[in-house]
Amino acid sequence: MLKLEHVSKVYRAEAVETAALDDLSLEVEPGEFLAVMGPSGCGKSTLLNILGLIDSPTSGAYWFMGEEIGRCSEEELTMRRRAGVGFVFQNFNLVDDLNVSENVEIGLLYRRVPGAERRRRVIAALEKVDLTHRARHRPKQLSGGQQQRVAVARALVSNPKVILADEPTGNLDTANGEAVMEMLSGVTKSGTTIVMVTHSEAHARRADRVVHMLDGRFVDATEI
Amino acid sequence: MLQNYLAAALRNLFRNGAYAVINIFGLALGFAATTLIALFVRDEYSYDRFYPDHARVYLVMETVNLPGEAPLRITVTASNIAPAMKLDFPEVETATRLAPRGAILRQGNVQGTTMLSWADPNFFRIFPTKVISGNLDEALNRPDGLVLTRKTARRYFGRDDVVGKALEMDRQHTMHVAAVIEDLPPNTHLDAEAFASGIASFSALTLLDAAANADPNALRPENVYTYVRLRPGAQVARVAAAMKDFALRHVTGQFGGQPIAKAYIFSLVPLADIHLQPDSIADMKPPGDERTLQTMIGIAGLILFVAGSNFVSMMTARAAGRAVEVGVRKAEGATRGQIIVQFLGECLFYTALAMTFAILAVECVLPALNGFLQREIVFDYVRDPILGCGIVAVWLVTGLAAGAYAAFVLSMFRPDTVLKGVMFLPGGSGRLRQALVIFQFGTLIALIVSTITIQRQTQYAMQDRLRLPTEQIYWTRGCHMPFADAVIYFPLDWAFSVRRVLNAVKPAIVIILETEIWPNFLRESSRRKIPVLFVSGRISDRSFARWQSYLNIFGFYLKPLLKSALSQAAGFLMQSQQDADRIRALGAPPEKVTVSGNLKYDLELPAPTPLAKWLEEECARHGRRPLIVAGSVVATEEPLALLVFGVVQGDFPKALLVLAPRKPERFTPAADFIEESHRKFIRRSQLSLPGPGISPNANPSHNGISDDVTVLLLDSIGELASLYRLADGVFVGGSLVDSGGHNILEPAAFGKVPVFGPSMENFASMAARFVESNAAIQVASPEDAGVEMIHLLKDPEKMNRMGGTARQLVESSRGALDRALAAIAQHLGGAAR
Repeated sequence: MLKLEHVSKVYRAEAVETAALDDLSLEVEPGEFLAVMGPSGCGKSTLLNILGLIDSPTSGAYWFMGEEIGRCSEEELTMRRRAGVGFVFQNFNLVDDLNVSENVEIGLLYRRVPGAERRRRVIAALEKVDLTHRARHRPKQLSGGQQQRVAVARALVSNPKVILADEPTGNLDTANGEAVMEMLSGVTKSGTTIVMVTHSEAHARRADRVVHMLDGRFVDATEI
Repeated sequence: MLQNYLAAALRNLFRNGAYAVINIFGLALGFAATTLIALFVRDEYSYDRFYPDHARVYLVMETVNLPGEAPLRITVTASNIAPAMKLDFPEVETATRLAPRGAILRQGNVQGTTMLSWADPNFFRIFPTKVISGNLDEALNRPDGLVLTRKTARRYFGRDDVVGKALEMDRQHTMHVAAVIEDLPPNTHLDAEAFASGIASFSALTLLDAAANADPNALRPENVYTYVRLRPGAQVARVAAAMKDFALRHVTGQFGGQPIAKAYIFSLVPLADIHLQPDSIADMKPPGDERTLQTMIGIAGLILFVAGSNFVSMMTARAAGRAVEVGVRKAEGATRGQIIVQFLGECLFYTALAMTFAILAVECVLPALNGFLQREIVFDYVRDPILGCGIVAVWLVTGLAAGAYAAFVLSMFRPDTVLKGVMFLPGGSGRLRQALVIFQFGTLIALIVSTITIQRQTQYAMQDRLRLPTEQIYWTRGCHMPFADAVIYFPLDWAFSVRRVLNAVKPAIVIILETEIWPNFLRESSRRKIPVLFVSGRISDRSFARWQSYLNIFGFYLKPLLKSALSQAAGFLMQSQQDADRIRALGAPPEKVTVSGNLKYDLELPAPTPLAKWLEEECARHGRRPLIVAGSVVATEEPLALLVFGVVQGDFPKALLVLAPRKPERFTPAADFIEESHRKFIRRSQLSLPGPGISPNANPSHNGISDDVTVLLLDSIGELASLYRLADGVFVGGSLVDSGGHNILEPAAFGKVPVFGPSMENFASMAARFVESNAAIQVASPEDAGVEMIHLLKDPEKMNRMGGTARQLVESSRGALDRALAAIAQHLGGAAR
């Protein structure tokens, strides 16, 4: 499904070079639930950005669903992203000006889905996360857990092949966190690949596989 | 898709509340101002374009070059020019003339003066107008034909359908209304209330033609507007080229022993251009100024730019608030192009909102603007395609231009950085924004300062008293004062404007009355060796105090500047020692300062008027003495003057008051006050006595003052001075209310004792001098004024003594004029005029 080969990401700031990712290689199987753990600043988010086609590697190769991405332009990345990637973020990133269904709708707006069909799928997605009764509310009127569920609905509504979750339970309490993890696990059962960055051992245990990162590289759990 | 964008746009707007209001209303204000300016400019350019075939119609104008004088531009010609043009030039299809004259029209009991325009019968073929009733084509073919505008018809008849009705003209001729036309629209250079047939035997045109025929070689009066319409396809250039010879053929008469034809240049002014020609002699209406229009267009552009760039700045500054949204949309598959489209659309939406408010604002303000300008500018964007397209174009251009930058900046947000919460905002270093803000505020400041300066200059020129010796000067635009070649505004004191004026006017000498200290003007004049003489100079308490405070604050810089400016002047002839001391204190070179007295003292005694004669006889016949004259009474002072009289009446029941308000608009309020005081009065205007500037009264009452009448209301101009001679007691107004006082020299010159109240700030030194010399009495209240008058009336010896002193003061102060003239002669180095 997803394959990284000797991928590096280097940031240049004035004369200083920082390597966020250093010669990474990784393979993710279709339908796999992968957890990525590691201390802050080890490059987890950068990894996720590259996997999710929001960013390009400085060197190395990345195969997304069998196609090599290489050094694609922003337009091409966008195209591929549309086809199969959904995101869930730690700080929810809902648009304050739009209500819940409009927020979920964003997941379909740019994917050439006609209006009536969009409305249908939004309702279906909200049902999956059990928030149909809040369809007209604004994000500010919802609790943290509910907001994240909306974000999950947004990620799911386009039926993506890959979901990238960057610490989805980071801002939630235990109960809500559990609920979100339940949803994600459920999703993975229907064949979606999930790559999740997390700090929580407990949540990581729900995944099929866990990898650890340190300073831009994969390491053994024992080395941390 | 659109719904989603719209929801985001609207809710973002509401969320930002005050910001949104400032943003959108600021832009709306800019749009509205630009639209109003555009409407006005368009109206100015639209003059006379509604006449059919206006491109072929021309006004024949003269430029006369007399030796030693500047060329005169004149819009009227002699009466023979029009027929001559028709004869001489095959290109001319029709020639017509218009000769406006005032005439007295009467219908039944309604009589009035109207500007009657005598017109050739073919006039309306060139200038067709909307007809309400009657046949316009034939109207002027009959010698007694009259064409009235709707307003004039209503004025004399009270209604519009008056075709066939008779109207008496100048108390001898009877004309008949042949047609009634709609009032002339404001956007034409023609200004007429009624037209009369030029073929009448007593018409101005007929009389002019007859006089010309009687003496073909004499100088002809030039007071006829001549218009020609050329045939389709005719070349106006050919006609214009032949006009020099035309002048030699048809301009008759001599001036200073030379035929004047050589000095004449005729030109053909296209009808649509007349309004924007420079100011000329005999313009029917004050012309517009093309440079002003071009400036206004420039200003409109600036305003639009400022409003637009303000809008851009604010939208871009708010971009940070939309960062998350952009990041999310991009993460969910939006391309840069789609983000740009979304935010461009949003901008267009906001701009459309602003435009809607602007249209509303223009609709609300336009009636007031029309009232102020006396125009009828229409704002019909539905039926007027140019206006409608203009509005849409401005909306699109502003929306896209403003939106482009903001959309561009927003579309560059990278989802990875934005969504992680890192505020890394691309969009350049913001230099463009900074430059925009600087330019914006710079322009705004310049516009505001210019507006305030121009407004104050205009107010000053319109309202401040003209500081010339005579009391009554009425200056109307386009009318030339008999002793002046031109009346212009003094230039703003910037080097470039002063230079332009001095180069254009090339004065031999500049005489400044009553002190205007403008450093650049003084310097430029001195550079050109033009002597600048301050005559009848004075520095009021207020001005001096102001100068003192300036010198205290900016002394180190201002003192030498003032000193050098004043030293450039040729001389200072100040009114009094105090003024002389003050100007020296400000830095004028002491050897150039002399005390020469106040020009105002050099007045001539007014000639006796029929009114004065009649009043003297009436008072003698009916024993109406004492005669109290209350002159130059100002607004709200009338009841106080009546109070003074009331006190005098207590001791002298047969006293008579002449109440003379200073301004015509106070005549009626004064009458109301007199009635409220339960006094019987007569108005001067009711008397059938001739006088300067008096319009004839339709129903003269018998000329007599009955015993129960105690007040004569002097509702006329120009007769007050002659009445002072008869007065026993004189009250000079403008002094019991805070108005600054009035000139007391007129009664004093007749040996009368002026009585006035506390407010004499504008005549402080004069008043002080008279009071100290026991030649006038200053009181604190109306009652005191009455009491003092009674004392004087009961002590004739004292009154005569004081009156004699007053007269002496006036006589001995004469000579200021002679001294001024001598100084002028000296500086001109030759004979003074």
